[in-house]
Amino acid sequence: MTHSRRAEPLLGFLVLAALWLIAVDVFRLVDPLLLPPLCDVILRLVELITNGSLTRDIAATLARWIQGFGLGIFLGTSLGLLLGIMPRIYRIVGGPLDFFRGIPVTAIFPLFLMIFGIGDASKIAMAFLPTFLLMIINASYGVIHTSPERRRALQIFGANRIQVFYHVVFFEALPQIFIGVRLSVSLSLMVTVVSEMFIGTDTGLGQRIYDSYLTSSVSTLYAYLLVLGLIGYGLNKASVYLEKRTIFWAGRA
Amino acid sequence: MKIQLILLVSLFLVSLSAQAQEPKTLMFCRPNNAVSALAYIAEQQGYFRDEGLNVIFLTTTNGKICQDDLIAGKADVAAYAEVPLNYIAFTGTTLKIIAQTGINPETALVARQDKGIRDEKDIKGKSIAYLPGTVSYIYLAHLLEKTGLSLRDIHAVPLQPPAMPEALQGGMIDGFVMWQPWGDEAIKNLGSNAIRLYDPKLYNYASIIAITQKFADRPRDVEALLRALLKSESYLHTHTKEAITFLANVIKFDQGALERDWPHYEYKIKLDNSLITLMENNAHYIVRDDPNFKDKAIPNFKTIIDPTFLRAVAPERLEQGLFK
Repeated sequence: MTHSRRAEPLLGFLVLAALWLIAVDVFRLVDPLLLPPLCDVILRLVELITNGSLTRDIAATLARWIQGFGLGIFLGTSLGLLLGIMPRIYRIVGGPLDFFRGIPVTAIFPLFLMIFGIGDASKIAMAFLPTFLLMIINASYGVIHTSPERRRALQIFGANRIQVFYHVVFFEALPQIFIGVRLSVSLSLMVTVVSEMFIGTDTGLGQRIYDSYLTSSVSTLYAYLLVLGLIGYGLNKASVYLEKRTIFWAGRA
Repeated sequence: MKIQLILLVSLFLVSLSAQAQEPKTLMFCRPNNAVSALAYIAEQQGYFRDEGLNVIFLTTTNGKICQDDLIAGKADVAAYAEVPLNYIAFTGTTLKIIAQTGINPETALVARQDKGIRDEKDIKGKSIAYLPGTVSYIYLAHLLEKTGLSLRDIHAVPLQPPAMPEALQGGMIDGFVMWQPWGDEAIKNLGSNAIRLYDPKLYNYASIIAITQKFADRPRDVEALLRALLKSESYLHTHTKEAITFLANVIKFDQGALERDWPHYEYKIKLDNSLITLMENNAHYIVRDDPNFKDKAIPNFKTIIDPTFLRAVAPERLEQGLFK
């Protein structure tokens, strides 16, 4: 990739920033209670970084997210692989799985609040649930759609079920598993932040965003949104990078 | 030709007068609580219609959302507590308070006795839930000052109102500071283990009527709105029992609790120095506790109050000499 192509996404951000600067900072075309001057937002961001509060909030949110997301990936993938190699059981549990996946996860807030309380457990559970369901479905789908010819070929050469699973099924399911991972990254982060907002907590980006909203501290609100956007963008890029490194053969004949 | 011209002019004048008699539409945002009492009664009794207004209501769960609707231009007028306006006054706003409609005594500390809270000063070291940026925070700030404590002396837990009774019952918090009906709901759940510590002298929030600049440019409609609300106020005082039954039903308050607290409510449309003092006191707490407002100058709250309309409708409701 040439340097100029690498710089293209950065150019998009710069254009956006320039438009903001011109429309709000220079010409004051928008009510500052809806969109504050970019300079105010940047100054506020610097303050939040230097006083250490931003680091605490990022750490708190990421800690909740990684616990829910990590557990969801591990358990969801394991169960999905297992269900994929047992199609009969998959057909039985497939319906209930789709049913639970159909419920918007945010609608489950009150239930999780009753079960897990207002502490971190409810927020971790909220990040866990969509990841878990997405991973079960994607992992089992990946296994079910592995090539029967490749499996049979290996069996002809005397491979046992574990060997067939390891050498064919698992690797063929990996691209589909990574689709689940990419979808879960942003969904679980979103749910973690929303649960911080609506359940409440001492620390965390969601709580800070909601506090800023309640107190009409619009510059602070935008500063936190910028940080959250950067985290989401970074995590998404990291998952794409990991996917490319791990399943480098995907998409090739 | 002359006859045709006369007919045309007459037709034009008739259509103009018909337009003048058409009710003027306005969007009124109200949270579904006691702050909106006068608006609910005016709607039920048809006072808005009598004043030639076609009011479309936007009902929300809290006043902050109504203020957002005003800023976004989705509402022309809103009834809510003074605290959200307190915050935007620091940034500067074109919204104007045209009247204070009352004083609301709903906010209180509700706590668990088995956690050792029997008196206000017992909250030291305890987990107390509150909602930042709202009357809940302002009441807590007053309470801490009264007991000689600061936010650092308690474990202050930011929490959403519907989660508070549940969290208190589950023992996840030791108490909370919140408006109704959440306090009474917690008492209902916990029974004799719950204690409601309410000091009527500590802090009662004001209900206000705020309008947009665009609506202020329709002075006749603003005055009609105030006349309708004045009729509501009068109804509230002459038909108190019916009003309580009606309000408890529409805002989903326990009627017994509303009757119990009714003597502390004050429904009186006015504009006087007490509102300015209240907002200045709130602002001092905000500057002291909220890092977003640290070192900011206390705004001049007189500038966001517009007495023009109340002066035109009921000049005796204005404090003499306060507004030019």
